[in-house]
Amino acid sequence: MISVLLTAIFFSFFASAVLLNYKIGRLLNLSFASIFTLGAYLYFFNPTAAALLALISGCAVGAVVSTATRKLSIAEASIVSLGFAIAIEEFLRILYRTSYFLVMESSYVEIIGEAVSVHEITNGAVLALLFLIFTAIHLSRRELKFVEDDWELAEMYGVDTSRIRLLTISISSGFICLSGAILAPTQSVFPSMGWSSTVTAVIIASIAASAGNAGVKKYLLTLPVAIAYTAILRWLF
Amino acid sequence: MVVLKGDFAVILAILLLPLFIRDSFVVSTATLAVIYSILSLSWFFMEKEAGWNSLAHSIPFGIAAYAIAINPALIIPAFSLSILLFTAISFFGRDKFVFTSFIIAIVLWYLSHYITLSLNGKVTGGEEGFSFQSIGLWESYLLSSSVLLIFFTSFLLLRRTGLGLKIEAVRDDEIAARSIGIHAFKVRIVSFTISVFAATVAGICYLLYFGHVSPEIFSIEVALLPFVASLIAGNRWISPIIGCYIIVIVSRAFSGILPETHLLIYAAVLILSPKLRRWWNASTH
Repeated sequence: MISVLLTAIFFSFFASAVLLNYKIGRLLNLSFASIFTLGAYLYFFNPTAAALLALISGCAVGAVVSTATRKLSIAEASIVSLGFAIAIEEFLRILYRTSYFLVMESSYVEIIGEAVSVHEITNGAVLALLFLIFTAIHLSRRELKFVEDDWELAEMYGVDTSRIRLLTISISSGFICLSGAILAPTQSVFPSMGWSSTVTAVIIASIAASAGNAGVKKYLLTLPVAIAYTAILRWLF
Repeated sequence: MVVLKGDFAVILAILLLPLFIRDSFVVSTATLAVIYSILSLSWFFMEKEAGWNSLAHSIPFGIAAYAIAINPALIIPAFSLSILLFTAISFFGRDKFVFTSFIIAIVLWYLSHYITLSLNGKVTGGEEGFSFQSIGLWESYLLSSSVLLIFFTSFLLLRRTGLGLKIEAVRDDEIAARSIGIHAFKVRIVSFTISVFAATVAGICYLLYFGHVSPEIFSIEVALLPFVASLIAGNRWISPIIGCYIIVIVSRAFSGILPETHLLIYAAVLILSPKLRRWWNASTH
């Protein structure tokens, strides 16, 4: 049960990042798949500084993706982000050819009779905190909601939409990469590992987005959807 | 007309070349390129003629190969399923079609690992996939080359018919097309059916050549191949064919040194796709 909840928090955060990028960045950011993988490889490269490295490199990749997709339509921008995803994936594949699957050790603690990875708990705690901060920002900063509701109108009213877009994509990419670094020891690490999480996040985001465009509601809704999704998946397999 | 004759001459030259070289490696490379060319041509029809940019042509391609490998009688339901799937995705609209189709292609890729068949207590399928009797290298090459020529000619001829004009009218302006009495939804289904039919035939050719099908047929690589191939070589009907030849030749040529070379091309083409598309469009006009 604890494990289901922690996985759901991760998927909920991932789905919120996908939604946020779609609503503000106007792209389905498929580069998240490889940014997550990049974080996991950074943990393998240097476990001590992995968190910092992941945040910096995630933000940097996000900034590049944001700049490259600035003046494109949603479909074009999504395809370009997919190009970045494949480029990072292939770069990692070439770099780590000799050790394709990496398995790192994680320590476990027992909570209510269930063995849960320390890394999963850390990731869950970090993401839950981030989620709360994001909700607070979203509720207090009207610009964010304005851009989300009507991009063109916000631009006409003088909101710096490009800056908001750049920050949104960069910061969300940074945290996705951080998540990859924290969760690295809980799974086998290989170049295409991020795709399953990304696809799951997109599915959860699509279901949550059906709640409409109203404020933070759709982001909060990702959590129950993620819990239901994870529970069903655990029950099936 | 001169351009079309030139395109035909190029295709004939490409297809006839391996027959003169008579080297097994060249023929096997050419066979794969021809099969992927049929798939890309089916995608190109849907994108250029019907205006639906799909990243899920691996679905009809893979489902057809799986259906024939499991039981050839399943090909009709597999074909219908692919059309239904594309129709369902099209309800999301043209803008969202591209990434909705891509996500569904990935989901199917994951699910394909769970396709198993239990026969006399022996379980087949899964990650290993299914086997089928291959028809041989030369037979495969001749079959797929003939199919490619037939589809290439048919697509060009279709553009000159009433149906072709209706498909183009719906592509350019669905509301305007409706106002002059064209049943837009029916035309959409017909265009999907034509495209899926070509992709299904490509899937059958793939199975008959390799004699084996695994979940890799649904992979991202196959899903993106038609899109990338058609962007490499321009905006003409011959472009997806040339693009497929380039990708397959590069992939085979560098397979010993860097097996992922073609995927690096994929990445570069996808990143540059908006610029490439505008550039090819400008050079066409």
